[in-house]
Amino acid sequence: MSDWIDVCATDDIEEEDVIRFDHGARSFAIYHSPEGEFFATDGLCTHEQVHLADGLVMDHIIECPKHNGQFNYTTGKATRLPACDHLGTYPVRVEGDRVQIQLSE
Amino acid sequence: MTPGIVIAGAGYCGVCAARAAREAGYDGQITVIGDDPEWPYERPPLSKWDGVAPRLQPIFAEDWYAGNNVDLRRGIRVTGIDRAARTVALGTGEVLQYAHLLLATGASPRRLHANAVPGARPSYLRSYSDAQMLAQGISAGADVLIIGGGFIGLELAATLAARKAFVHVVEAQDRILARAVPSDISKMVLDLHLDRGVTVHTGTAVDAINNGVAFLSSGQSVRAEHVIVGIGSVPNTDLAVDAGLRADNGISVNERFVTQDPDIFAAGDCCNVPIAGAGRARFESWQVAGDQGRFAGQVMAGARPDPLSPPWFWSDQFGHSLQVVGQPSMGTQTVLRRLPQGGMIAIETRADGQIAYAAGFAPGNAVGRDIKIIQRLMDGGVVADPTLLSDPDTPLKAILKRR
Repeated sequence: MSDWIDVCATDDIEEEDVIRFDHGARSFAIYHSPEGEFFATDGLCTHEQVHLADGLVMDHIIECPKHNGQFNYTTGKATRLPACDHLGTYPVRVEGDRVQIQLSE
Repeated sequence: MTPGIVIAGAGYCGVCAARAAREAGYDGQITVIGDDPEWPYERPPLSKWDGVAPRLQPIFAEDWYAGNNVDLRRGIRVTGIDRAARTVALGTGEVLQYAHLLLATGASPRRLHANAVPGARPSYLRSYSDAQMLAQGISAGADVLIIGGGFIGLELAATLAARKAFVHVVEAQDRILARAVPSDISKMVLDLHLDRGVTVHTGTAVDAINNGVAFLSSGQSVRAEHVIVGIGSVPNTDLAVDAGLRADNGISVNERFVTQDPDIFAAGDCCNVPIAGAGRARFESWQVAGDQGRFAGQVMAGARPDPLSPPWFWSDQFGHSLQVVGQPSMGTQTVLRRLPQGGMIAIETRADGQIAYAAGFAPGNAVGRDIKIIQRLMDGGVVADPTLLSDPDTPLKAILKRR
């Protein structure tokens, strides 16, 4: 079973930026790409439990605020050491002016 | 077997070199030799324990090595280099041929001079087993004296104070972190330590230690059940020097990390490298070690190396993060950028207006994003208006985008 979960308004995230979204015990990073699309990944860097919402978004890359690991947030792929493991990604849709993500149980 | 790449040292530099060579398409033999018995692990967590004991954090998953045909030899020393025969001798008696040899031998803690502090039987921190010994030996309520107010000393002070030890830090210079950060940042770090119960003695030396009491040059005496020394590191150059290679505060290499022997490279904490327009330097930084190893790995693989990033490092103390990019005192003007969440970034610019260096300190990871933007401004040689750099209402990213 999966549900669409309300995250925020579309203008709560600037373009080429990221915010943190917590749901239950889980934490996510929600991105607004320079092209105006929204994406969602796991919130914590796969290297060392640091939240990516404090990181820097450049184009489609999120850089961890701590040790400079990088991921492509549209695919979750780790693109620079020390990050080796990929991030989980989640489906995102925009309903009206709301951003929603889909979480499977 | 055709000789391939041999890497002496399995720290962050050495394994990053192996990985970079493989990722650059090198299909020859790669052998990495490390004297530590553990799988290659990250050293930064060894001074920053968030629980009761240091974490053993592997750099790569254990199956990465075999999966990428990298022959990792753990718990084995390289004992000598025969340059004419292009071989290294191992502690096991084995002799390995190389086409390219990378010395990634790292550094060792600088020791107190014999009799510098009579009565001292100090601990040093470099390896996971050193960290384990500290964690096992020092319990809540212990009296700890740390000699050296640099990063290792202060991170350990924060770690141990958080575990309810009574910590004194003694620093010979008139401020902590004097080599690494500007005085405004030093002061913030100092205030945090004082606030959390660490006693800091600057401009002070330890004259002697007797029966668990340290006698300071200030005339004070403090309880010192445990003594830890963190006064910098010395590069591990013996292998290179014994092989007739030049070393002066690190194994001398050119800008491609090649020693005077074209088949032998050196990178990371053990090497001394030319800096564009600024003489030579040896770095003690996790990021620099990985970046230099990566560069050397690409060169050894015959690939075109990606440019080096500006030197960067970080420290964690009491839930605050310090990040530094560039090299201090290469700048001529300092501007201070105060962060809305608390904390500050000191930015040094050169005469031409480009940023040479920045150091930030703030709770959590609040400095991370700005420091990474500053690194990009430096990479791009951007000349930024000091008024904008110091204005907290002007996002640094806007300056980056405007260029």
